[in-house]
Amino acid sequence: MAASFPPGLVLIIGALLTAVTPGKAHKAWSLLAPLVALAVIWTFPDNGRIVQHWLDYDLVLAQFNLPTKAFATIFALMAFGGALFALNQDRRVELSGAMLYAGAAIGVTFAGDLITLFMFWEVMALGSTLVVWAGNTEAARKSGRRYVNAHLVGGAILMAGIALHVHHTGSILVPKMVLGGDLLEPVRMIAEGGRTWLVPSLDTPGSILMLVGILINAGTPALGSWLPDAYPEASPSGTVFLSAFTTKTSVYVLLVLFAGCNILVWVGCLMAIYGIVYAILENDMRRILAYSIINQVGFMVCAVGIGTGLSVNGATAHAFAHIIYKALLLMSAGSVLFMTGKRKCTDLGGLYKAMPITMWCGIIGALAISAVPLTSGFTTKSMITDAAAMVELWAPVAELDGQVVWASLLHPSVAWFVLVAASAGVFLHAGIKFPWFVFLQKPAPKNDDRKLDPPANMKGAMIFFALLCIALGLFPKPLYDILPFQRADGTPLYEAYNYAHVINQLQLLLFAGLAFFVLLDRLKRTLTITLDADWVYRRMFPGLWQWVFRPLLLALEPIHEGLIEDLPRMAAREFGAGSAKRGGVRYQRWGVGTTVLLLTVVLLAFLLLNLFVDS
Amino acid sequence: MELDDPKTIRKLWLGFYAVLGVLLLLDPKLLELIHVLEHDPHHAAKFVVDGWPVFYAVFGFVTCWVMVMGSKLVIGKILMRPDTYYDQSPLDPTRDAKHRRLPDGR
Repeated sequence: MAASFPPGLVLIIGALLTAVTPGKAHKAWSLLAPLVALAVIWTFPDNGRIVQHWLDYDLVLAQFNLPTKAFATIFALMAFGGALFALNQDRRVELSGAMLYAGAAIGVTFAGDLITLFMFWEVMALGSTLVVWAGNTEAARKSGRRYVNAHLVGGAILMAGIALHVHHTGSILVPKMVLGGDLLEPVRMIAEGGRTWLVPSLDTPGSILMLVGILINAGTPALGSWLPDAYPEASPSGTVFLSAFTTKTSVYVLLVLFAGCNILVWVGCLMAIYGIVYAILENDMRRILAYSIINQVGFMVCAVGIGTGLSVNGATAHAFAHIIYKALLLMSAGSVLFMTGKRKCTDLGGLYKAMPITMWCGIIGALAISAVPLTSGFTTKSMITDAAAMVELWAPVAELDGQVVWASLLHPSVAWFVLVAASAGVFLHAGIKFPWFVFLQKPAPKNDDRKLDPPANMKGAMIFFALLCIALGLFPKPLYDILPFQRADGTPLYEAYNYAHVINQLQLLLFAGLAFFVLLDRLKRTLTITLDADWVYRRMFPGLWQWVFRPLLLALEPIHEGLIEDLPRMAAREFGAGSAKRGGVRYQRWGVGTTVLLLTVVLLAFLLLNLFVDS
Repeated sequence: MELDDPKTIRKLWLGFYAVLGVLLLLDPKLLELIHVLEHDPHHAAKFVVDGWPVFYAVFGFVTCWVMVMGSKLVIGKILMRPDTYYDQSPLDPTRDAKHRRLPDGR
């Protein structure tokens, strides 16, 4: 029965079918499975719960948490759109990896306990690594290896946090979110048994480790440089899949575990600015878009930190809209790469006549990410900036000499100014920079009659997502209806369109655009990359090994040899059985193999003995 | 009308300036000042400066200027490298000085 089946598993089964079905038929599964998953998500009963007993725990494999429906819906839609975009390409590993990845992401959103959540979280890392590796180049192989390592470390940290938390509280369940009265009030989190959920206050080591583990996946600076490292190395369609799930699943998990954790406001602000600064400097078009993912996720992380009903709705709605327009932008970039084989802004430009459909879809995505009125960004992101403006509702206060003061290092209004500046910056680095340098920039060749728009399925996927961007901008109600918090009296949740808001947004963006063209000479692309935190493990560690530790070890080699060879030999000569008297038998070295064999035998003996010992 | 014709580009610029000018004139706080628009309590200034006329236009332009200059002149100066930095660098332990793959270079 569909209703009692965990929706995430639908796509995971789809992934297996995609992997084993012979011939071209496997592609049919990748289109069908997301639609079936979507149906299962929408028919899942509101109070439904699938509980499975495992070891000592009752795992809640599926239930609706408040933000689940919006996130799961967009993940399934995204899997469908991505599969449509990838339809003409024969990378079976990528397609089944992507289905596995999407299914696990949906699994995370339905998880009702931390163990289930963690298991799907790890499957996600597995699926996404397959997608990176399916890029099938030397660079993809290398960065895929760095990618999987970063995620395994992140997963281990998250698991350690969960273990400590479960040990500390004795409960594995995800907390329940409730709203005080009005949408503007802070969200309260209730743990099992009606106790207050204390994780957002970060006063236990377990909660800190969980936060770090999740932030690694969210792409937070210094922990998240795997993102711009790996995403641009996947195939044209692979990057589309990658952009959607990992970071937005982190946003979801932050929402259900850390809503109202104030430090996230500043983490989010940092991400928003960092994404812009790096995107301004980048040359590779997909690296620009990868950094702009970090910028956009920054808004969502900030909203999680604010933790009012409006901001939680805003984070969810923004994640929904973001997945669509970011996928659209990367489809547009992917089409350019697929048809021209070029990926650097310095090589591109002058494509406006050759790829009109790709260009217009890219421009719609660029307008949507910049939150231009009439697009999905405007009706969703504005909720976050508006929620940030109400500092009195979220910023912590302390009492000092009888006066109430802000209990944060920075004045809380800084968050709002940073978010508004970042909104302007988005237009600068993604809204104009991407279409300008990729499609315009230089004049098209005379009598340009190249027909470079991609095959029909890729065009279809782009047009589908472009229409969604505009539809959500004009009629956001269906999206608002599945947001976590609804008004009790059924009045509209949020009204984005009013005179002051529209005009102010247009002023902000168009003057940012003016800045772009005034500074165009400064923004001219160069054949450069900008070093990020991945430098630490790509250069510093190997460099330290090559120039410091290895020479040191080599210098110490005589001492080492003396210790392991000369010392035992001397001991054997002086005190051993074969010393002075017999002289014939001398000390013999055992090879590594023998030692390992001996160790294995000893361990085996322990294991066998262990079987006969009770408890 | 050709897009790469200088005349067209000139027209586009003029159109852009005109739109910017109109946007400045339509500023809600400006219209409140000259009593064309009623004061809307839902859009009262939260942080003083956002109540000033054309705040958003100035803020958008200035912050973008600062972000571009800051990233170019500060971050770019320190962290920008040729894009062959990682793959053909003498520091790469998997390649020799002539960028050939080492036999044990994994």
